[in-house]
Amino acid sequence: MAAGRERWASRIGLVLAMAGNAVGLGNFLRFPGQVASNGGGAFMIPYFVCFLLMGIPLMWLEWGMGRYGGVRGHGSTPGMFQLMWRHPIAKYVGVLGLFIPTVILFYYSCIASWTLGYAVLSATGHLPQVPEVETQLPPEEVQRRVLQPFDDFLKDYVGQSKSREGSVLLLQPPVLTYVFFWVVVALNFWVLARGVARGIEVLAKIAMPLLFLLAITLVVRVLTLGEPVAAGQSPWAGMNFIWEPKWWIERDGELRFVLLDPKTWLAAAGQIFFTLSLGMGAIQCYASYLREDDDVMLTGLSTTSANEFCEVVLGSSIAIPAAVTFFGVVATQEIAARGTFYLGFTSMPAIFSYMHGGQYLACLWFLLLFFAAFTSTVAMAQPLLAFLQDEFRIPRVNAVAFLTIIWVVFSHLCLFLNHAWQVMDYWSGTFGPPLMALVEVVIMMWIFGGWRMWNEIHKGAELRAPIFFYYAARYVTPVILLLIFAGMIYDQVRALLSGGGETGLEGMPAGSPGVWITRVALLIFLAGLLWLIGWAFSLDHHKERIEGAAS
Amino acid sequence: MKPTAIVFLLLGWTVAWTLFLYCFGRILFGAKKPPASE
Repeated sequence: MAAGRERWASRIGLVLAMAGNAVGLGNFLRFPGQVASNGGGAFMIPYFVCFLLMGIPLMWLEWGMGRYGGVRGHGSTPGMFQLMWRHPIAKYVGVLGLFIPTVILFYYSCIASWTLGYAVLSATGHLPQVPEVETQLPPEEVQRRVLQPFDDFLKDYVGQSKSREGSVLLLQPPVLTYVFFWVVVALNFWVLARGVARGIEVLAKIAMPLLFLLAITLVVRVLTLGEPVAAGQSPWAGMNFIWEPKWWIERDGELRFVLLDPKTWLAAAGQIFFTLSLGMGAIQCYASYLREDDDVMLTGLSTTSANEFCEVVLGSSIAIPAAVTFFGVVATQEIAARGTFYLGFTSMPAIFSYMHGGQYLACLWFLLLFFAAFTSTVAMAQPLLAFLQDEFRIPRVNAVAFLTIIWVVFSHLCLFLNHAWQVMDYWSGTFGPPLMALVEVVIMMWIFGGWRMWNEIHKGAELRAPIFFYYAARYVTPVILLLIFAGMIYDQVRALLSGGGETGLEGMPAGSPGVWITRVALLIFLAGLLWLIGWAFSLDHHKERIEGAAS
Repeated sequence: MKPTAIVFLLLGWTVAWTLFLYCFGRILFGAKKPPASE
């Protein structure tokens, strides 16, 4: 173990912190939306195939890489890549593991602050209310009479109502939105400054059990709703809607067999990436605080299992079944198609306003999302902190202060610039992770050596993986990653040729000034990170370390 | 719920529950690994 590096205080703390890193809005909002839009139960086939062939092997490899780097004094990917690939460019390629999580931190902290703000506004009765239980409304009436006030409220909350359709550059959020952002920054600062064991681990030990408790409470409430609006329209009809396999779905005006449609497979692979926080550099960073003989196989699989439980069992049983109960299947399909935020911030508060004590249930819902987001923001902050601490030997509090200054500056783009957070989400949340995963799997399984890596992850292991996973990691995972990447490039090129912006940027008009300003800001940030890496590795203690390792 | 929906729900939930109970069962109640020095 490198001298002076922190360690996790307990194994269960590590498991909860890693699970906190993985469990986020994707489990409770993105997953049910993806299932509903991609064939219902039929989606679970590509989902579990991708989980088995890509998710589990990649997760073990990232844990192994993190521990390998950590015991040699590197908690971030520039140093880890340099250790595993003795090439001058390796450390610069590792910039991905700093850029991706930190950019996610910039916008995810804003989203976390919205969830906290909504939790407080729900509890104090400041969200819009639906006056009384309506009888079955047609879908267009659901949208106009029930959901529209909540949609308008969200637009007001983020300051979008005064800047419609990209015609205005700046967002104008109310003071309250800004105050909650600073509350989230302050909470993160406090946790991060306390360190890995006294800060992140303690947070995980409190927040994760609470998160499970809140989720189970909401599942029980939703599944016992009965038929409050119309006969046959119950949460179980919602469960039927989400789980019934739809083998043929209509896409782009054609009827397609869901298992032969590449978009279904891309959606499944993307969901696995997103939900397990793969290809971001955060897992490696957390794993770098392990000892050399600490198990990574069973511990890693445990965090994955906690995440899958949150997603498949709890995530599928709240938002969609509740929406079907109150709005019916057709309206729920439209809600799911409008994306994660519409489901979480518009549909769910509308649903809760129908229920007895709904304002408190809405508060629980947003607290659930807040805890999920909070444990993820500290995980996204940690790689850059580890880089500053390990490579520059900066004291932790100073590193946290430095990170916070950069973070607050870039988060202001998300708070005040139209479309900024969507651009950041595209490059760091959609485009970046498959690229990073492809690079790291090649470095680990082909450059560092397949069997060497296989033996590395089995050091101190309490679980021996079937040899099948070796071949999956060496041959199948890179192919899946290449296909994902090719699919994204194809979508991107097609969107550009048809005059659109980047695929996946919902409602983002091409050529919006906010988009271009954000892209330039991200390029400047990337260049700054590359410069920091070059500087760090030119310091004397690095030269000595590299020479020592070589000899 | 339709029978096919129940089958797929059980498939998904069984995988998730089994993995969860197996891993946390082993972590919480499994035999502890001896320290490396022994």
